[in-house]
Amino acid sequence: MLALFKAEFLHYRQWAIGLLALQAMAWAIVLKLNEYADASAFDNEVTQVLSLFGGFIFGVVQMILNTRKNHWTFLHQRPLNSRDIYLAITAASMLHIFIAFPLVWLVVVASFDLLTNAVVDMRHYYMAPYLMLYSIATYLIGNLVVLNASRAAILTGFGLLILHNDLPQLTWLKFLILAFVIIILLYLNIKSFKSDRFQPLKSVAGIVLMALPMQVVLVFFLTMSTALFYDIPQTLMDSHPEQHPTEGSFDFWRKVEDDKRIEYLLKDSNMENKVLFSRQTQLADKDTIATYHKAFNRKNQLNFRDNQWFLSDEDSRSVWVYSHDEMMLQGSDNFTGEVVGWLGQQGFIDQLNLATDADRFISVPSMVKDQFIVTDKTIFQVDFANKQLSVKLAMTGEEYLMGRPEFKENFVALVTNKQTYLFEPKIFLNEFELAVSSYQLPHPVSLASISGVESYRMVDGFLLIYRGQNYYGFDKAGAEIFYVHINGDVEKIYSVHFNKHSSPEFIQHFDFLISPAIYTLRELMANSFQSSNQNAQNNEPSSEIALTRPWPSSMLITISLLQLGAAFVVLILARRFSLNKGKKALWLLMTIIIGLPALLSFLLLNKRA
Amino acid sequence: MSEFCISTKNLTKQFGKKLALNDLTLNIPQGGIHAIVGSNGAGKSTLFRLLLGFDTPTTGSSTLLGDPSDQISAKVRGQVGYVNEEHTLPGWMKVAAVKELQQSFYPNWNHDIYNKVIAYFDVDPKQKVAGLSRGERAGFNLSMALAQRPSLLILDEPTLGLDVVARQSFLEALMFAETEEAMTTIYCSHQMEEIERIAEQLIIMEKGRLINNSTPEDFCARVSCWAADWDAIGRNIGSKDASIPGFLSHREIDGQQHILVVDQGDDFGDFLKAQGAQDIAQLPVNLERAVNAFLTANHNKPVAL
Amino acid sequence: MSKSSVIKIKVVTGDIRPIFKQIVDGIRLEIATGKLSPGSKLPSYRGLAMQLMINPNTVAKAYAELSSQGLIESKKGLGIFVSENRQSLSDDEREQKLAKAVNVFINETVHLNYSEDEIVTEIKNKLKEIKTT
Repeated sequence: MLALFKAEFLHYRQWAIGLLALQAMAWAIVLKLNEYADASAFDNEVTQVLSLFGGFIFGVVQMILNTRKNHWTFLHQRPLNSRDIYLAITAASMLHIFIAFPLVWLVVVASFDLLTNAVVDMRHYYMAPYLMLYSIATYLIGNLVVLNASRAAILTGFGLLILHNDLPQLTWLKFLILAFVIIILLYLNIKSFKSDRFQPLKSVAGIVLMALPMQVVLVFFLTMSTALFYDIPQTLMDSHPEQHPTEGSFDFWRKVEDDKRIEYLLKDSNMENKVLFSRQTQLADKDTIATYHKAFNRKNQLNFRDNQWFLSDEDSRSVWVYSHDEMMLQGSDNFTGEVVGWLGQQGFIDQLNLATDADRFISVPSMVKDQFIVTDKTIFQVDFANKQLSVKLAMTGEEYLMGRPEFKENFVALVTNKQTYLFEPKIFLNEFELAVSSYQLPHPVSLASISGVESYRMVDGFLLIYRGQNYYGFDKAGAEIFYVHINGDVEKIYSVHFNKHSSPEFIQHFDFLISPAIYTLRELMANSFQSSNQNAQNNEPSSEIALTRPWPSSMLITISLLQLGAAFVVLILARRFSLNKGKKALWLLMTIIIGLPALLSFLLLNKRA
Repeated sequence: MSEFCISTKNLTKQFGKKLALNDLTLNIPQGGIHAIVGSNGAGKSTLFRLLLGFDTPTTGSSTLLGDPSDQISAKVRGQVGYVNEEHTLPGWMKVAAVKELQQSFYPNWNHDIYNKVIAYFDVDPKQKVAGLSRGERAGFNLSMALAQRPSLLILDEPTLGLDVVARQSFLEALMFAETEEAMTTIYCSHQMEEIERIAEQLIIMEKGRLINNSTPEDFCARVSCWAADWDAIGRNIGSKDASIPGFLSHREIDGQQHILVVDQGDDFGDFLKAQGAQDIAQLPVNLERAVNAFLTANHNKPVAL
Repeated sequence: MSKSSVIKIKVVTGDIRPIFKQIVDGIRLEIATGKLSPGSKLPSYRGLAMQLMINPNTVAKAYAELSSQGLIESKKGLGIFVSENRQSLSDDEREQKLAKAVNVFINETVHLNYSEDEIVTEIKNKLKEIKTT
């Protein structure tokens, strides 16, 4: 086996070293030209694409070369287990991948670490092996696409990567899961590396591992297919809901111009002064307040495309970069690069060895506007001139920030898990004292149900429209108008329930229709492993909503019919593919649970006998 | 240990509409040199691919040294040497490196055999495999295959494209290098001259079927050639009632009909007389003619679809 | 170890007779014409095979046939030799063989229109020729 490893390694050795040399040169040039480069420089689009596609193409090319008829014979016709042959070859390839990619990166990061004062955290080091593992995973996918009896293996590869990405951001967990993905791919490749590689996989594990990730990708494609049979025909016939939203629906109101929006909402109300009101809002300053925010960074995260990770001070010509390892900011001079000090949550420190645990931040903050350090509990304000750090705002009890403060012309908005706060912008920015909100409003419904807030500046306060597609519950869109007065009073003006929908619900929720099982799985995965600071949000409704919504019975009936129909087709086709009882049962089970995507994967993975 | 080194049972392989192997049942006992003869498309290469487990039959089964072809153990793989006409080896590696690689897999590797056999060919160990001529590659492949000391050596048209010198060297090396007593050789070829010289057992395949499995002389004895004046022969060819028994082929030479038949005794002459033929004489048949007659024959059997 | 004699026979492919038969016939002729004297050692299977460029097993087959005809014999540990006593055939066998050969001869020559005397003369000349070489 070792001899085989050696032979295979020598085969591509020149390529690997060539790539290494190429990269070393490229990096030398880049770093010479870009004075602001730091240790995170190697995590850019080019590198990522190169390592992913490079791995994949290497895997495909190498396996195509090996599967040429007589080479294949040469490989297999020897007293070695086919598993050992494959592992020897793959080990050589992994060594190549290591030489071609991460080796240079590690050297780059290490040089920054050892030769400069740039902040280099362990996470910068971890990224190199992580990308290497990613490369190995795509290499194995390339192998599988060529080796497996079914070209649809590429969907399996995609599916595994998608599933792996659904999962959380903790470094050790990401490594673990990626290692797991690699093990699955190795298993599938070993099983596909039999001397007759034109036969589909036989084992239950092999079939399930090939089919499930494939089905996840197929759900995606099937959902896209709504474009084919709904969106395009409807648009051509000029009857698409986007073009002509139904009167009285949420979609309709969304398209109403700014100055008519309140008027439209109030049209059915018997408010006395609604006309006056509407006219006032037409002249008001308008803004929006976001209720969905990018999650705060965490200590053990892997990526370092951070949301602002430094503060810069022009006067002292210094840059203060946050170090995850130290949990403090390191200041360095712009020109000399010398370290000028550290900044912890208790204030400035001259030297690192003077720092105590109390100085270090508890969670990773975001830096905002070169003077604020924002965590999910506290906003600090930095006074560079006087080398002071003060607390601008501190949350107590169960309340925490959902994201960074938004700075608008008329206010600074801050959304927590309980309330929305509006501050006077000038005071917030220029004064160093504890901030006091001018307006605050508890969330009228759960934050997850609110898709955004529109604000109108009135003479004596703000008019706020809270709205959401699922405001009053699943698919129950709604909007509410609140008036926050300068004296602190909060007045609910009007509530609207949108009862009509523009597009049919099966289109709206096609991904659930196609496979409720996979839909549920993805939702569960997306929301697993969250830390107690529930502030990782994206633009989807939370999984609470997703998993507990009451689906209309018409949809449930359609789904049942689809799944049973798919299972029926599998039953008929099982005979044509000459499947034995065990395999037939397995596919039937998968189809009944998963539905149409399972039927498609059944067709893709089996061959007519 | 199975008494047969190769055994197939109703082996059938279909590619689309074409039947490459058609219900082939063949048993080859251990020992000796067995030749497999057949025209292109007879199914020889398909047979080997199925036997070695590189493809799966449509129906039927096969075993190789006792192991079923779809589950050949590493041990059996080590006992089988396979040399085919392409002689494909990793071109980028040097000869010495390939030899080292192969050697590492076989604990029974015999240096002496390798050296003796490679001596028949002019191969420079420092040369890259891609730079070897076809003959040198064939010799190199054979040397390594023999040095493995296999129980079964399969050679699929190994001398195809070799010049006279290389072919001579190859055959000499194959027949006279001292190897394990118990080695069975399967030799696949078109060249009747080679077959005559080396075959102890003659297997003939045509259109995926087994036509013959016997010694060459026994096979030859089955075929006889009859010359006669028989103008009315046209009546009998293709006719169901008056058809010629054991008919293989016929040619008209100088007004006479030369008819090749199989499994007919000396009384075939009487049959011809009864059909109105005259000046009947039995001519001698050599192996090549007999084999060709089989391979190009239009048997009075239904053609397999 | 005694040296084996060189057998000046050749075999051709494409002949009606299988190769082992050609060897049998060839060695028989060598023995009959005295070129291979009784007691002389025959080449090994491999040796003759290499000389003729054929499968050693074919040589083995030929030798087996010759041995069953009593023309050669194997001496343990020493090799294969031309039989000393060529007349290992019984009188009956000899008579049979002679009668058979005469039959064949007659069949071949009777239609050639030679006179009886001419044919007998031809036979005598040939036998003389063999004895002298």
